[in-house]
Amino acid sequence: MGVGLTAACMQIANTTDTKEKNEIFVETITSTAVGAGLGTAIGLFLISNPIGWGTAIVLAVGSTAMSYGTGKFLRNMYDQYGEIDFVAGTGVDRVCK
Amino acid sequence: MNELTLFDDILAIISVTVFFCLMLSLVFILMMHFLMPKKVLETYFKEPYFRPAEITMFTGFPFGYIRTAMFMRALAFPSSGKRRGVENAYKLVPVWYCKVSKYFIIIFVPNLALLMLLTVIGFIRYELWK
Repeated sequence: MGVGLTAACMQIANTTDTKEKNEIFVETITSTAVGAGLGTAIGLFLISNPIGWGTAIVLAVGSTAMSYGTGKFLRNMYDQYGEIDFVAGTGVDRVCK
Repeated sequence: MNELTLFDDILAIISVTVFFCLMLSLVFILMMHFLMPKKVLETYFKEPYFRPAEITMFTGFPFGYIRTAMFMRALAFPSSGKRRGVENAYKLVPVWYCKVSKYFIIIFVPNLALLMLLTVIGFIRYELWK
């Protein structure tokens, strides 16, 4: 999680276009949040189904792929509809520069 | 870029709303994490109810919240904890915690499922069917 956020911060810092900065921001926040949401869902599942390493790896890979996909999807949405400057609004541009 | 249709507008509105609900859910689960009664963890978050690897992985940052999710289900739906032997954990927590956990799960699971469905629809719409 930390590695992903740091990489996104560096990407934002190395991009000059404001819209692209926001797209990276939206994609990162979305995939991180969805990853956490899927982690919660896995927790809900694990209480009634203790699993082995094989299933755990499948769940981890599946949730990573899904969170990546949702990140791309909402980035696409921002590309089409986005007008709000999240990067400036949240102060991310001052941290990642 | 394709011309935006009414379908795209509806997809965008629903997706953003569902994602916003997911963000709220994560804030909520963080609150529940700190409100989780210590008694439950001291009694049940150990062997033989959980494996040593699970105890190590689900303690502290960043996966500690998964432990909260596990116990929330066991408290909301006691029969779900039968295989691990934690079906009586609900007796150690206030009734409101069990009720709140139950309502949270009832709202959270369909919300997440809807977001996954929207992602698949989005993938088909914007990647396969350009």
